[in-house]
Amino acid sequence: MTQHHELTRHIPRRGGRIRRVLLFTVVLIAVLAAGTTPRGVVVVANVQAFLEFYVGVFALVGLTGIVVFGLLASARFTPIWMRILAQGGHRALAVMSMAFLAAHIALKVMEGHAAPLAAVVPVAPPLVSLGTIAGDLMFLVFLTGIARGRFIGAGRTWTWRVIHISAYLSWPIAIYHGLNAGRPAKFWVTDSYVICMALVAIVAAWRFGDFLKRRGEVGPRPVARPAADRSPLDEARTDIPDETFWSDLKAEVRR
Amino acid sequence: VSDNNGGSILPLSNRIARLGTGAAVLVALAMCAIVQQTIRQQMAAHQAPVASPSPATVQTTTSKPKRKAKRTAAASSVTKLESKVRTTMRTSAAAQTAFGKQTLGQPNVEVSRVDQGKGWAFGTSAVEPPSGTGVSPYPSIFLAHLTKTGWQVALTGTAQFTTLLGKAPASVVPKTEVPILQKYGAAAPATPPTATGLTLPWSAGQSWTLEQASGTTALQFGGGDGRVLAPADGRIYRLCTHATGRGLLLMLHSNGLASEYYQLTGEPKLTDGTLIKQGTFLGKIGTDRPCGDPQPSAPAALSFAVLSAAHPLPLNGLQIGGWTLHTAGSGPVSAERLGVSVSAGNPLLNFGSLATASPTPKLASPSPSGST
Repeated sequence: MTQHHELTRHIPRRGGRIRRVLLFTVVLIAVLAAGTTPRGVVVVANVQAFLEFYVGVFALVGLTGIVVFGLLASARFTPIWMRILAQGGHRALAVMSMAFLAAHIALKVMEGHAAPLAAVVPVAPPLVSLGTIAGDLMFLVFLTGIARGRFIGAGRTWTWRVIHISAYLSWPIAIYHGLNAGRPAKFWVTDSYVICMALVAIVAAWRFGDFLKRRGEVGPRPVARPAADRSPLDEARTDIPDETFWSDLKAEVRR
Repeated sequence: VSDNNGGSILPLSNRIARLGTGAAVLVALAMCAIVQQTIRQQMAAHQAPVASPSPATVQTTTSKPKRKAKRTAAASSVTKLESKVRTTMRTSAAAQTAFGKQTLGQPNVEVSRVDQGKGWAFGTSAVEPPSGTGVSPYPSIFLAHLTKTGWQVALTGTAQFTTLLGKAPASVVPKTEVPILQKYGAAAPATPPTATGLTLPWSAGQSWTLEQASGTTALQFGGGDGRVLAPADGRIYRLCTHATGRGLLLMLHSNGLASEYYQLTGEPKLTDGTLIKQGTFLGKIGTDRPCGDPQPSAPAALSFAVLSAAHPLPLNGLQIGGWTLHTAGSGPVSAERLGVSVSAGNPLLNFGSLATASPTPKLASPSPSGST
């Protein structure tokens, strides 16, 4: 029995995934069934009204969070533990915001506020099209985020950075779209975004300056070094910018 | 993630990252339900409307038809009646108030029931607002009595109407309709009521667009499946035309309020005074303005207004289907519910009768009006 338990613990990935897909299917069927009852109709309509009103806002706030957390996770002055947490927040918000964005676009198209084509190509009126552009960029950045490993490992860090950094372009466009395309924004909303953008601009400029200063000193990151047999201390080389971070991270993982 | 990771920050970070996936799954589930609902609604929209079988015809009762000559005289007397109603309508204080004392167009008159023998008539009249304003027409119900000096015409909302109502024979005003007409025609209270006891006039669970309507008394609704449903029990009266499927509808409710429906198409055949239940199909939204406005209004919408004591109620503060309407001055209308505000051009959700704080008004007599 213990042995069986041990064994099942070792094949958790596949089993876990199947279980999750099954669970999702069951919940989905339950939700769809509940949606046919009179009470369910009203609840779904409520949810729809809520999402329609707020999901775009959530996507924008999420995107703001992604930018801030992403910046925190990559900034040199943040403590390591905070950078790791920020990384978690960055990933969580990224997945969440993509879902919000998808829901936002789907609802707007379903209600005839935008043509299906306008979801992908900026063919709608300008203010709506800005949303399309921002959304496309966000999706591109999201894809590079998922496929980060492929870029790093193959020594194409620069390709990755340039694409991923277009988030800084997507974000202001999205804010402009969010504040102007729909209902008029309250003053404190506009002000909050402006303050947020100013802070991000300052930190990003700092980071960029830092990067320029160190550009001469930095060489390409060694790829595929056998690290397993080394002690964490060995890896703390000062001439590689991220090395302290990565060695600490590896130590964390091993612990 | 096992417990022996104790002090590490990494599992926590991973857990945070997983929260994102959880939220995404919830959104996905909600979207599935919404898509399902939308498909169901679109399928329902293709279903045929339920129509009442009773035909809409002018009921003419002749108590003592004696000679042909008398009938011709009666016909000419109906023409005189119509003319008299028009004059009364144009000079009526209520219609003047409704449109801010502007020059009124030619009122429509629909004579619904006539008792030529006794010299009584009952019908409806509506006057279209000055062209281009896009406001709902002003609807009224009249009662007329032929005396030696000619037709005495009284419109709802006047003391004369109440007096005539007390004398009118059942052939013209069936007993079942008297209470509701009396209540609607009663003198206006000092402060107009705000709680209407009405739901929104479409299927519960659907969001229709609250359109920008000019004026401060009429609302425009569009979108959804386009099927307009009675927002409460009440008696229905048709105005402007008795042509099939067209016309302005006025519905009197037992709480003394009336609701007005304009720009409908495909209306079911309903006899004046028929008692209809909440949720009865009234017609589909359209652009038809048969009360005299030559310009069709686009896009397809329902023009909706609430009246009390024969006066259109101002939208500001009005409560319908759990929503409270607000108009800042003569600015755009918005609806507010539990802190959520929906401005013109945005979808308004019908919560159905679940949302109505006060119970839906029920009528004392459940039998539909008959004619004698």
